Amino acid sequence: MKLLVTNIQRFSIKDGPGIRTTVFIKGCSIKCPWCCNPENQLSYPEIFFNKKRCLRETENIDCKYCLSDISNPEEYLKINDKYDLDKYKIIFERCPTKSIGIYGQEISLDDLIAILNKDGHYFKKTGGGVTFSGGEPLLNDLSQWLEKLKKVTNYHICIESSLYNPFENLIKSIDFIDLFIIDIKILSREKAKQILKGDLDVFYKNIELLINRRKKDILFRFPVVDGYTNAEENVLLLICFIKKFDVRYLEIFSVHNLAKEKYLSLGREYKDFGMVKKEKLEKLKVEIEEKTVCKVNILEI
Amino acid sequence: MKSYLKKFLIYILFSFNILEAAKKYYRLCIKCCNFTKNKNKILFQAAKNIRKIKFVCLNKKDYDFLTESILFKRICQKAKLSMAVEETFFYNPDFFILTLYRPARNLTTIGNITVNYEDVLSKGISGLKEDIKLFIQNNNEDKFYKAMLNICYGIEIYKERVKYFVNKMFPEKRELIDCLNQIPMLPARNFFEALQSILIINSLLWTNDYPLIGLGRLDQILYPFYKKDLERGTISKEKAKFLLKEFIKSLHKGLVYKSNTLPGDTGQVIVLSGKDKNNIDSANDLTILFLDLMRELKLPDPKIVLRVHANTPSEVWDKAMKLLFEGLGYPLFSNDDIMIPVLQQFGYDIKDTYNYVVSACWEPHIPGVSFDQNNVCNLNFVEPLIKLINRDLSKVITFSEFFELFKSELKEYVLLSLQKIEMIRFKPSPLLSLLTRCKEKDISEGGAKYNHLGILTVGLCNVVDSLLNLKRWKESKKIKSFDEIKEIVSNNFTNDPELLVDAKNRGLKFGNDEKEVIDLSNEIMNTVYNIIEDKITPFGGKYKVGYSSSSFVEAGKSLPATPDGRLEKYPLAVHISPSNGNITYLELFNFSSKLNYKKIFNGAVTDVIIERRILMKELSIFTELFKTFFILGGAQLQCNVLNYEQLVDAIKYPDKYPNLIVRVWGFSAYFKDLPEEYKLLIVERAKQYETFGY
Repeated sequence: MKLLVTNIQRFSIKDGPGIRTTVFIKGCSIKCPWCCNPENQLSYPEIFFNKKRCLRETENIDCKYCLSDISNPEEYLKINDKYDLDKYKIIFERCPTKSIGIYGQEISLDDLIAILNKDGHYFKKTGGGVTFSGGEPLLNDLSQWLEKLKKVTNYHICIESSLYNPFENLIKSIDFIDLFIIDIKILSREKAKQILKGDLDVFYKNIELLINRRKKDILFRFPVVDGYTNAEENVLLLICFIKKFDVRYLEIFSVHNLAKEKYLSLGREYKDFGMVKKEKLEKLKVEIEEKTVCKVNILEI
Repeated sequence: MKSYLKKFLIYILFSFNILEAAKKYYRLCIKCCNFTKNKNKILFQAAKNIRKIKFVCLNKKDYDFLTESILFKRICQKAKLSMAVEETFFYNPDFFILTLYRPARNLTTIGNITVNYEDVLSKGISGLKEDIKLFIQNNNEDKFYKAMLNICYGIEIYKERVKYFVNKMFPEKRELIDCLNQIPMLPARNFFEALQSILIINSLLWTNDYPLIGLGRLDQILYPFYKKDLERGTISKEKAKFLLKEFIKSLHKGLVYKSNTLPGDTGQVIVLSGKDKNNIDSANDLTILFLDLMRELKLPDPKIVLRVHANTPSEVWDKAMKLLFEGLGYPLFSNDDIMIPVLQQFGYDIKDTYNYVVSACWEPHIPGVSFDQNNVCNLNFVEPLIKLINRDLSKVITFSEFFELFKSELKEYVLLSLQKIEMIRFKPSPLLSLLTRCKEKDISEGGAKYNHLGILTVGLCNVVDSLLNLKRWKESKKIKSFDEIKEIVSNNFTNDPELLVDAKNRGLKFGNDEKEVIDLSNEIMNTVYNIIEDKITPFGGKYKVGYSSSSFVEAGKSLPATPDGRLEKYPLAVHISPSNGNITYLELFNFSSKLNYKKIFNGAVTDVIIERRILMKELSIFTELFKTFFILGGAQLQCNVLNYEQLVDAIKYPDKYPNLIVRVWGFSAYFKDLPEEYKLLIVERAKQYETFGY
């Protein structure tokens, strides 16, 4: 099995304990409007072109490196060759600014282990390891990978998931994962369908399994988006959720607008949700802490 | 008025026809203007300083260490003494004393070494004199012995003058006056005397123009005195802290005048901690006290080098990281687990290696017994590369052919540099001889125990990046032949701006932990090493080579553009640090820990910039990161802890940040004091590192 990844980020210190390597897997089961990794939403390779960095734009240079039978690099975004982008790879490799390229590269487990092993000493020393993020990493059946990874390297394995994934993928992998970072998003059935295009029942089925089996190893996170997750009703549902599952620790953070370039370079529209003000986050923290026994920590992004 | 002043000055400076004095005076005036070379300012300062100046003359035709020692005696008789009432210790280097006797031979001043303060404290100057007396049988006739006697008399005269001065001016300072009955002629008896003894000798070194002299392992040297005082109950921990604080403040005095080429470059290095031959850490109360005090005082000078190893206690790491966080540019970390075996293998006595310190920047040597001039020459890797590019390369087809040609150019260049080194003559330095256990002849004639010479290198990163680019371009047919490079380089990339961007952004870079990059870097360094390996220096020592140099800005000024995307006249890369590409700390550390330090160690410093806010949040992660780096084989590490936005602001509004300190090459300096090109380089590097790893 190979996985389609968009980025393997070494020296991550925000995705779990210690120094980590984060693997971003392409493909997601829901579609959060505020998503900050739009390149990971679709499960097939995509061409990107960041006009803002292209020399034609920045320096007004008639750079020819990416052109063969096309007159303008923007045309590449229209290519619909979903599974046969390899022929363009060589062309894009020549781009001096890396403003054109392909999101999504297949990687085998052995390749991944080789990359992880470069930093193995640092993982062991800091309690770090590898984090699978995305997209929705559990959209894939990772069990064989994780089992072998655990056996060969014994690194700490962390998964960042929103748990809108096939139940069997979770149940098969559950024992090989050391830490689950779970994003809680929209908690009403209709809204989840409407906003996330996801089935909340799937989420609940997964979360119940996880709570039953691995409660200690879950870290809940809550992205705060004004008008969406931060809506009054959703916050009340969040508090119910916290009480129901006896959540003792929650990390909250504001969405950010760092992904704008990525949206544009994929030829998609970008909607700015605006950063949530610090006071609002503080207010939310106080509200949750007053009504529940859960401790809330505000993350700075 | 101006022209009159100018004439007067020229008369003063040149009527004696003593070039040395004139040069020193000119340098001093430049320093007074804080290194900004504005002629009018210099002239103004010159006029102001004239009344401060004292001349020391000598009428003698031959010049050697004996004459030098007589001059020393005169200087001791004449040096200006002053002290402020709030000061605890006497410390007053006289930078404005000019010796009007030194023939205009091109002699290189000996510096960059560490003198033997341990001997001064345990034996006193008289004890040192006795040592030499024992060694030389027919001592009345021996010229060297006479010179040494002159030095000892000089120091005694100076001490007596200081005692008289303090007695007259501050009769209430009983402790100081009492202590001057003892030191520095006799051994120090307590902590106070030890500190004062070091300060007097240090004062005399500066007064006599010996630059960049390190302070050595002060926590080790001072600890016996501290411990004895504590046991006897004659000192409390608070008092000791107070004294040490006053001591550091004294050493900070005269920062500008002590500086060599840039304000801050004083070579006043205090080496702390380190392991002994049983692998036991030697950190003590004073180690912690030094780290705490430096953090409290926030001075750019003196600066700290911390010797770390696998067993460095976590308290020391903790204090060191907190000190680092202050953004003073130090401590520099030097890894004993690498350095000590390497020094042993090189040929230093096993016992001595456990005592190693570094020269003004990073180059290791043995304190108190070495002449080791660790920076006699700057190898610039870019020079052979440019020379090669300018040759006819039409017949060169493959990259490996090109690389072979580069190596042969490099060999030729190294051999030429060695010839230049052999021409260097050093200035007789009897004071240093006394303080480095020279027993038969002067240190400038090879009288010390170790007489090795060190070579610095600059531009390795530029050359590695250049070679990687050339290889890639040739393979991807971005260039058709190597001859094309000539034009690109001489045109400063103006005809091919795409290639310039490509050069900086694409492909593997120096600092990537890929085998190809590591092997290429090591092969270049080994080429140099293989040449110098079996060469013997004029004094019978060996040559050392390393990975660092202070000349990255200066050396770049005369060079054309290079294929790594560095433009004409731009600075070269800094030590072991990437200049292109988005390389994380992990990659850099992995890369750096695989470089060949076993044989190439004369400065092996990895240089990084850390965003202050990131360090604040992740201090423990960074501590572990550094520790792991050293376990994996990293040799030395220095960090600039900075905030990019603040630096940009500080360039615009220097007055807002009078105390902003940055690390330059191997020293820390006030940002406002630096020349513009250094400021810009630091800002540019800080920008590169701003999002490092994120």
